[in-house]
Amino acid sequence: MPILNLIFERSRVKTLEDYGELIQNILNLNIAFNIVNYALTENGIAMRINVPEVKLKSVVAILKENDIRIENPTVSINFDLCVHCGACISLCSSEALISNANFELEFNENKCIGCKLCENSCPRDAISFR
Amino acid sequence: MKTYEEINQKIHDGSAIVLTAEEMIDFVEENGVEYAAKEIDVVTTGTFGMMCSSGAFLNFGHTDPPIKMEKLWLNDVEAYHGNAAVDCYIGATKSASASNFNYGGGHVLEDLLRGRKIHLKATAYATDCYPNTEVETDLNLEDLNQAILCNPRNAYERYTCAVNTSNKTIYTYMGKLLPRLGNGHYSGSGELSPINNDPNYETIGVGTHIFLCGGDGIITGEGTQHNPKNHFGTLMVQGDMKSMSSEFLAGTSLAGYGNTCFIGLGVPIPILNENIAKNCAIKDEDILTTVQDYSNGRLNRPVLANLSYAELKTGTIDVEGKEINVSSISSLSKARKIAQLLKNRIKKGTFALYKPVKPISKSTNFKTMRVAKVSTFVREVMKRPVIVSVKSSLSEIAKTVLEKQVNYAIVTDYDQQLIGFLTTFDLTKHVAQIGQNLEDIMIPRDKIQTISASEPVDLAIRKMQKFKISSLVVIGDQNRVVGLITAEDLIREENRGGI
Repeated sequence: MPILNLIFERSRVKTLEDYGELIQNILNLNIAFNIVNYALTENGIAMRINVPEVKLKSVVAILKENDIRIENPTVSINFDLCVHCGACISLCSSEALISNANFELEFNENKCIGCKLCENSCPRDAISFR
Repeated sequence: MKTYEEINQKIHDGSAIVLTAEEMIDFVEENGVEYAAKEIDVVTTGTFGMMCSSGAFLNFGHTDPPIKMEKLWLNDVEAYHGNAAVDCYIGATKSASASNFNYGGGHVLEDLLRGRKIHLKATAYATDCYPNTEVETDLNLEDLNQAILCNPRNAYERYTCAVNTSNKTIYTYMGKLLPRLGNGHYSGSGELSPINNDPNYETIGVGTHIFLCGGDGIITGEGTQHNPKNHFGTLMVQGDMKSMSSEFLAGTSLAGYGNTCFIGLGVPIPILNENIAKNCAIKDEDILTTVQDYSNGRLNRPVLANLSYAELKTGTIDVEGKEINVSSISSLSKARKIAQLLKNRIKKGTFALYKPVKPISKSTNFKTMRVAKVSTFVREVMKRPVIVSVKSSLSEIAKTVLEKQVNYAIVTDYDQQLIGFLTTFDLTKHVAQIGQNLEDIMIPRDKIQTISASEPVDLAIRKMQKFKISSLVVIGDQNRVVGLITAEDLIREENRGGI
């Protein structure tokens, strides 16, 4: 099933009520999708969804109509600079950034939802966004 | 019982039995302490963490005509120059720019190790013996007479796990911490960390030969803020940068905090007796630390949980009933690599042990700064706030303002969380029919300046000056509105002699 990464933006999301309102807006769009993963950020909700192939066109149309950004994972890790400290790992709720058995950083691009919570977390400036 | 001489002889012969601290755990478990003490000669440890108290003494050689440098910069990072003519100390945390932390002293050290040229700029006043007043040149590590990494405080025995209970993301020396316990960071390699494997300083002492950033180093004494009684022991170390590698020294920029650098350090522990063997089998389960809230901006941070490094290394911990993701901000893979490399060097006979010439103190006390001027805190100066519910009507609010004889009201929700701020001027807008609803006329939350009750009043003054305002809403525990502090309160306090 096709996968989309979405950013539901709102200028400020601080309280649980704010998130509640945002989720209500998403439900009001009345589209069928499965949430693969999501992350709450200070600017809204980043969400990775999968959509049945047949509905893809209509879903994308509705999202565009409502100014909802469709993001492709844009994070890249420069492993020449990375020292595998792990300062980015705790920020990643979608398990795209994980520590392997050797405590080395591994980046799974397929799991990244583009939430950007790892922005400004790397002491080596090894994380960049295209 | 073994002696340093016997172990060094074995190292020389290539017959020494060496294990890393992680391997030692399994060995002791399988064979017992008594056998391990007899069989194992050396256990190697390692750590690779950000150590702000790092830097290097550099000597550039004299120019002709000579200069006694007064101010000096290396790649725009200012170095300390309160010593001899062409010596300096470059500190890891000094930033090239005060507005961003893209490049700092740690990067200068790393660039030197990478063989890159460093731009040196120095100015001076002329003397009869040092007539030159300015020099500018590019130098690499080989050009320097000496480059001595000299770190007053390294190898922290253990550290706290940092979290953030506030409503906003904070940027600390423990990295980026998300609001509402969104994540946590810890540091230190636990069972691989040098002092944890020799907690009584039986072999770690002044003169101990260590692995420092890939090269050779020695322990020169207890580190600054050495606090052995509370398991926060530290070591002062130094080593020749010309023997080091950039694989084990890395400059860092921590957003919102500043520059520092990662330092790789490994200490070999000779297994002289059973007690030392037993200590070297310490496990992460037995190394305890605390989870502390880094959002309160004070020296004493609230402790939210007690746990072990074993729990931290699982990646998730439980704090106040919430499961949160934690990760290390020191490199456990590099720590492992250091212990392994040191083991290989000892086995190959290229790394000998030095017997300490003096023990490290086990009783140093760690004090906080004695400040002559005692800070006054917002809590002591603020007044009780006049609070109205966001559900109140404007006439109810007007009535409250009149009753309490104030010229403002703070608008909160059911949980006393800040929603808005209303002045009598804003109420006038309603009378003038500029806005019908509370939301139309009040100042919304994101435009209100707040301060925490536990912050010093100096910070309140700075905030008022910066934003050109005369009052701040005071936030207390659980982000509830607890007061209001005004310029008037501060003047009153100053007259009383409090500030």
